[in-house]
Amino acid sequence: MLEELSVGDKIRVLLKDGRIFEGYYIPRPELLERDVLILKLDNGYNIGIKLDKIEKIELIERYKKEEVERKKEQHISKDKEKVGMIVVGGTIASKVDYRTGGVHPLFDISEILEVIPEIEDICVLDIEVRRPLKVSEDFTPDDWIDIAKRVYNKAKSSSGVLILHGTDTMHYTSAALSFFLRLNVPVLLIGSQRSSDRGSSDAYTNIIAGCWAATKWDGAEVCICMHATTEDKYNYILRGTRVRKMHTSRRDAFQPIGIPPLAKVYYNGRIEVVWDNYRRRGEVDEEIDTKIDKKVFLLKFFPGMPTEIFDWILEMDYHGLVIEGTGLGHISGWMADSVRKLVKEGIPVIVTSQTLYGRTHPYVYTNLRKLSLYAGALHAEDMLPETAYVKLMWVLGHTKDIEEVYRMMLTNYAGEITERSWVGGFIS
Amino acid sequence: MGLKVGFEIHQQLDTGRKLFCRCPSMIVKNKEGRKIVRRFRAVAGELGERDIAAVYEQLRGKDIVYHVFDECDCLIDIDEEPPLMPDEEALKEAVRIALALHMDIVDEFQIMRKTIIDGSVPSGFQRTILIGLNGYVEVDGKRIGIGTLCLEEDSGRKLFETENEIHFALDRLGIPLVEIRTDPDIRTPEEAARVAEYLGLFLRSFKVRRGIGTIRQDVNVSIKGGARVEIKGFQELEQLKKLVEYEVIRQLNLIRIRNILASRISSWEFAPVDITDIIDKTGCRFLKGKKCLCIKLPGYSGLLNKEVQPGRRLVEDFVDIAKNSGFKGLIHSDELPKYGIDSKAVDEIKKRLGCGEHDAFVLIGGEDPRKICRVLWLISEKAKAIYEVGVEKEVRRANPDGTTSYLRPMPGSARMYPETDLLPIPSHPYILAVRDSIPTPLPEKIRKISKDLSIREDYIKKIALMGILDDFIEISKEYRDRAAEICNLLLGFKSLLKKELGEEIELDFDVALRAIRLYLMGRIAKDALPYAYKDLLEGHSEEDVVKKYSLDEETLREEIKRLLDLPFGKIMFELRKKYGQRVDGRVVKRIYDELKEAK
Repeated sequence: MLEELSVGDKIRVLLKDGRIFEGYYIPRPELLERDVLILKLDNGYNIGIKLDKIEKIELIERYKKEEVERKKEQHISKDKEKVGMIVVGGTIASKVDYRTGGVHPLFDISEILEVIPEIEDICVLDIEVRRPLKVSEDFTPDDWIDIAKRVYNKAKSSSGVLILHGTDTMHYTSAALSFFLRLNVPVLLIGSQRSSDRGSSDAYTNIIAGCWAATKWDGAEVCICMHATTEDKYNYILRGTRVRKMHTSRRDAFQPIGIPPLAKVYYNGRIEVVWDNYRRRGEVDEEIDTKIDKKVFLLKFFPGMPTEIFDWILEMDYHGLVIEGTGLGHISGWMADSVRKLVKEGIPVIVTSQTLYGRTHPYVYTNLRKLSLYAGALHAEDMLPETAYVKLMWVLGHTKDIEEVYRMMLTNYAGEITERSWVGGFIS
Repeated sequence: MGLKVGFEIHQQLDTGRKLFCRCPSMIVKNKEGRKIVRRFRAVAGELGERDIAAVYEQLRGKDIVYHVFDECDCLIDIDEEPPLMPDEEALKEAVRIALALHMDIVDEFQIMRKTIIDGSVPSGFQRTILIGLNGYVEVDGKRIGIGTLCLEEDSGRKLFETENEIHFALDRLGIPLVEIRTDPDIRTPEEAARVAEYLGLFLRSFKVRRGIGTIRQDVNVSIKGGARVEIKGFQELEQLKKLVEYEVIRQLNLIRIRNILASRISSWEFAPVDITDIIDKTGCRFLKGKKCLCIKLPGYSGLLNKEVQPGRRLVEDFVDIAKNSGFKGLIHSDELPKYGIDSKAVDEIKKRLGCGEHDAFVLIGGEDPRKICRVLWLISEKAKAIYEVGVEKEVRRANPDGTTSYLRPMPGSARMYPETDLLPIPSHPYILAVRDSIPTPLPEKIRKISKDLSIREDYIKKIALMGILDDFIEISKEYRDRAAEICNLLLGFKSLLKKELGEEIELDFDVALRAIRLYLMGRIAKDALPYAYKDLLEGHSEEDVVKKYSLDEETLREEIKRLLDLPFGKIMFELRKKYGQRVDGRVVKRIYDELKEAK
C-alpha cells in the first residue's frame, strides 16, 4: 500500500484498533527496516506507526509542489569584480528537504544568493556546477584533474576562483591543485562543517569570506578558506599543501601544520595578512600541468604490520610508495630488506611521519639509517603524508627515474616543504 | 463568548544528564564561562515567513555570545559535534508521564528539529520528539484532554542583551524537558487556574527538576470570532486568571476595531515614503539628522490610542514591533501635533502619503533606511492582519499588570523537519520498561493521604509542594496518632526557626526530619527542635545533639521536687537558666502536676 504513495501526499491511516491518524506521507530513511510508516502530523511532528497495526491507508490528496519563483540572475553591477565558483559537492553544496529531512544537492545558483544577499555587495559570481556532485570521500585523482581544468579556465576571466567542496578530502584536492596549477589569481576551497539548514551553519560565512578573499587578497595560491576558530569571527586562508582536517566535526577543523595561516579574512571584507610569505598575483606565466601517475600507495605503518605488505605492493604493480612512519620516519628494522627490494625494482619509497608536525630525519637512529642508506627510501623533510602522496603521483607523471623522482620530491614546488622549522609551528 | 483555554507546560526532567549528550544537567551560578561569539542567519527561502522575519529582525547585526561552562557543556552544545542518541532515562520518564496521562504512545519515536532562530540554541533548532497523543486528566470531575507530550532539549538561558550583543548561558541548553499540551477544553479563567495547578502538582509525582525556571507555562486563549493567542512568560498562577480575562477583553476589542476598519476601507497597500525633508524643517529634536520613513495605515485614524486592554492602547503592539527590532519607538498621527511636529507638517505628510479622512500614519526615524523599511513592513503586516481578521494567531508576552505585549506571529508547522543525524527509536522497549512503575499522580495521592490521616487536603498539598510527601507518609506510619502534630511541625518549621533562632537559616527538610524524629522518639525536648536542627545542619552528630538537648526524667523530677514550693513560672525560669533548651515545658508541667497531686 505504500508503493503508490509519494512524499508529501496527504493520507488517512486507519488502525486495526479503530484509531485514525491524518497527515503527510514521509518516506523512510535509507537502510532502515521498512516495517514502519512515517506520518507528518499537522503540528509538524513526525510519528512512526507500525505497519502491522494498520488496517487501511486512504489517500486524501496528492502532494502538489509549490513553485517558488526565484530570481534567476544576480543583479549584474559593472563595478563589481567577477569571481568564479565551481560547485563540486559536499555539505556546502547540499540542502535539506524540510519535508523529509533528506539531503539533496543544491542546484540553483539563486538559492545561494537568496540566502546570502551580501554577495551582491562583494562580487559577481560566475557559477559552474560540476555534475554529478560528489561527497568528498568519493573523490578520486581523476576528479582533481577535472577540477583543475575547470579552475584554469575560470581563472582566465575571474579575480579568483572558489571551489565548493566536501571537507573530508579537501586537503588532498588542495594539495593536488597546488601542484597542477600556476595562476595569477587565488583558488580557494570552501566547505562547511554544519549543513545549511541551520541558522548557525558555517556555509554562509565561509562563502562570504571566500568571496572577499577572491577579490581582495593579493595572494595567488591554492588555499583552503575555512573558519579559524569555533566562533564566527574570521576565516583563515591556509596554504593548500600544508593544511589538514584535524577534527571530525568542528568548524575550525582545518588548521595549518607547521606554518602560520597566510591571512585572516573577516566577514566585513577586512583582510589581515598573517604570514607575508606567499605568491602574489601577476607573478607567473599561468600554467596547468595535470600529468600524474595514479599508481601510488599511501601506507600507514603500525606495530605488528605484516612485512608482506611490501611484496603485495610490488605484486599490485604500484609505481610509488609513501610510508607514514613513526616519529622521525621509522618502520620496524626488519622491514628494511623488503623496502630495499622495492627500491631495487625502481619504485620510489618516500617516508613521512605520523606525528604530522615536525621534520623527518634519515640518520638519527640505526633504523632510520637502515631505511635511508641501506634500503634507499627518501625521508621527505616535513612534508605532510597526504601531500607527499599527491606529490609523488604528480612527480611520477613526469619521470620514472628514481633519482629524478627523489630530486623532485625534495624540490619545493608549492610551499609543501618548509625551509626552516618555525618555533611557533606547533599546537599551542 | 466561546472562550477556549489550553496550556503548554514545559517541565525539566531530573534524569541527571542532558538529552543529546553526556553532560550533567546543572545550572552554573556566579561563574564566568568561556565566551563564544556566533552569528545567526535566517535560513532557507521556504521559511521566509513573517514570524521568521520578525525574529530575525531582532537578531540582525547582533552578535550572539554564548557562555559555555566546561563542567556541563560540550562540543554538542555549541553545535560542533553531531548529537548522540537521546538519554534512555529521559525517554523512560517521558513515556512514564505519558502513560500516567492515559496517552497513546507512538510506535516509533521520530526525532525532529524545530527551527529556533532567536539565538537561544546554537544550532538554530531545538530537537524534539513526540512521545504520546490523545491523553487526558480529570480535574474536579471534568476531563481535560492532553493533546501531545513531547520530549525536548531545553534552550540556552538568556542572560542579558546590549545594543550589539545577546548573551546566553549554555548550562541549561540540552536539559531534557517534557512539553505537555492540553486541548482547548478549559472554559473559564477560574478553571484555567485550577487545571494549571493540578498539572503542576501532577508532574511532581515524576522525576522532575525543582526550583525557579524548571517549569514554564504558556497559555493559549481564544474566543469565538477571535484566534488562538499564545501568552508566554507568566510566573504566578494568581496572575493566570487575570491574563485570560484581559486577553478576552483584547480579542473582543480587536473584533470591534476590525469592524470599524472594514466599514472604512476595502484594500491595503504597503508603500513607505521618505519624509526626511519634512521632518528636517520641524523642530523635532530627536529626529534631527535621522532618516525618516513613513507609512499610511488606512482606516486607522482615531483608533491608535483606543484601549484594547485596561491601560494598554492599540498602537502599543506597533511600538513593540519597532522596539523588538531595536528602535526606540515610533510616532503616529493620532498623537500629533507633538514633539515639535506641527499640524502643518502633519498635513504635508498626509498629503504626501495620500491619506484620506480616516487614514493614519506611523513614522520611524533611524540611520539605515533599509532597516526602517523592514520594520515598517512588519508593522504594516500587523495592521493589515487586524483589518483582515481582527485577532491574529500570535505569540504575546505577559506583563506584570495582566496586559500582554506583542512578540511575533504564531510559527507555522513548516518549522519542523527530521533530525537526520539520528535514527528513529522503537517505543516498545520503553513502554515495557516503565509500565509497571507508573506512580499514583500526586493529586490523587494527596486526596488519599488526607483521608487516611484525617488531615486537611491543603495541608497535605503544602507538604507535597515542599517535596517531602513520601517522608511525611513514612514518618506518619510510625507515629500514626501524631500525624497531625508532625504535619504542623513541618508546615511551621520555617517560621519556628526564624522565631527561635532569630536569623535567616537555610531550611533543609532532610535535616528537619532528622530533628523531628529525635523529638518523636523522646530523645530531645520539643523546645530544643530549632537548636537541634541548627547543630545537625552544622554537621554535629545525633548523639551529640541528644546529649546537648535532653535531660533524663529522673534528674528533672529531682530538680522540680527541690523547687516545688515556687510558682510554676519561677520553676520553669530556674530550670531554663540551669539546663537551657534541654527542658521541655510540657514535660516539666506534667511532672509538676504529678508531684503537686502526690503532695
